[in-house]
Amino acid sequence: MSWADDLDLLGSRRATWPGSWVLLAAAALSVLAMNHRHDELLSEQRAVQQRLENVRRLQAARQAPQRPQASPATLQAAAAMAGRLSHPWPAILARVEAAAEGTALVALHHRAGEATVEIEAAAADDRAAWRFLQALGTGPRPIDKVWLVAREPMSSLDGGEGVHLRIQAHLADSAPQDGAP
Amino acid sequence: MNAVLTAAVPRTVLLAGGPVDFEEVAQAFDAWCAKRAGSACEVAVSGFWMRCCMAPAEAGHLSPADLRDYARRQFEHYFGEAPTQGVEDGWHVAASSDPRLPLACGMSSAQVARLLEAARRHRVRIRRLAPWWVRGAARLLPANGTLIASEPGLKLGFHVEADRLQHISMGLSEATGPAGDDLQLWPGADPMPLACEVPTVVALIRGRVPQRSTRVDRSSS
Repeated sequence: MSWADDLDLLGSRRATWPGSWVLLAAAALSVLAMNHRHDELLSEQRAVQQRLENVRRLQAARQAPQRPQASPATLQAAAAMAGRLSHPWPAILARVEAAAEGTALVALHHRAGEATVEIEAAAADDRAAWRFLQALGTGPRPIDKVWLVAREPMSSLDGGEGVHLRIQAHLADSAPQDGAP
Repeated sequence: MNAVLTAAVPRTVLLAGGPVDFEEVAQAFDAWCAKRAGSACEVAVSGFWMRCCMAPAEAGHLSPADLRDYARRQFEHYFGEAPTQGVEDGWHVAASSDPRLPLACGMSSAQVARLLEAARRHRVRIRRLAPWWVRGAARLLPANGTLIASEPGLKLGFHVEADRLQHISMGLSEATGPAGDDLQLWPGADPMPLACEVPTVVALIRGRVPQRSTRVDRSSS
């Protein structure tokens, strides 16, 4: 500001134009109105974003890979498996062990879905083998049938003779499977 | 409408002086405001109403507040106008902050109030109240030399040396005429309207003057 501006008698007493207060008030109201509108737009934006998210989730759910439908055979097999698992395995094993007096049990095999158990045993001779078969087949359930699948002579490590047996035992309360005698 | 048109560039009105009563000038200004109600304006005042003084060299550098106090005492001493009831002080004073130009100017508070009242009545906004010569002098004041601001009946001289104002002189005169580098509103001593907005005079008041001396021909308002 030059000295020419200093020599203004109204330099420090300049009256404010009343209209300037009106403009100031109008500007303040505009700011308030814009703030309010801004808040409204933010709320609308959040609502739209939420709806968009919901639509995306719905689309993702619809496009999720379908679980394979179980065929009737599969359902039947599953039901059969459930039935096999309900066998009284402790009783079956106790029966086999009780019958194997004088005979050594080598292995016990069972396939899921089958109603038979395959038993491998080693007997001292044919007489012991016959006693094992009778004990298995004449006892109470859960084994109701037994049959000899294979008989093979065998030699023990100490030089003695013996018989290797493969026996199939049918489990009671089970439907006979295809191929069983 | 006048407010919008003059919001950026206010009108410039000159209040003339001479052997007239200030009330006549105030009424002329009132009539001018009535024609331009709602306008914004800058008022340039004759040296007959706007007094001017400077601090003596022996006073040293004075702050603008000290310079105003000094000027106020000078005006009260030489021109009277003691504080009246309801008025803060007898004089409205403004002082330069440039230490090279320790100038102060002032006007009677009663006269200022009269002008403000006339403007308020017609919703005219006075944005500036200053001597008519100040902007032209700010542009033309030499680093060494004299600048004369003359109007009918009154001459004001500014004497500058080494880029510092040394003294000012004021003289009453019947006639005006070119005298070197001077600002001159009217050649000769033709009368002028008490409140006028003559375009060439307005240009001079606004400081739109060439670097060399300016002689302004009187034109009708």
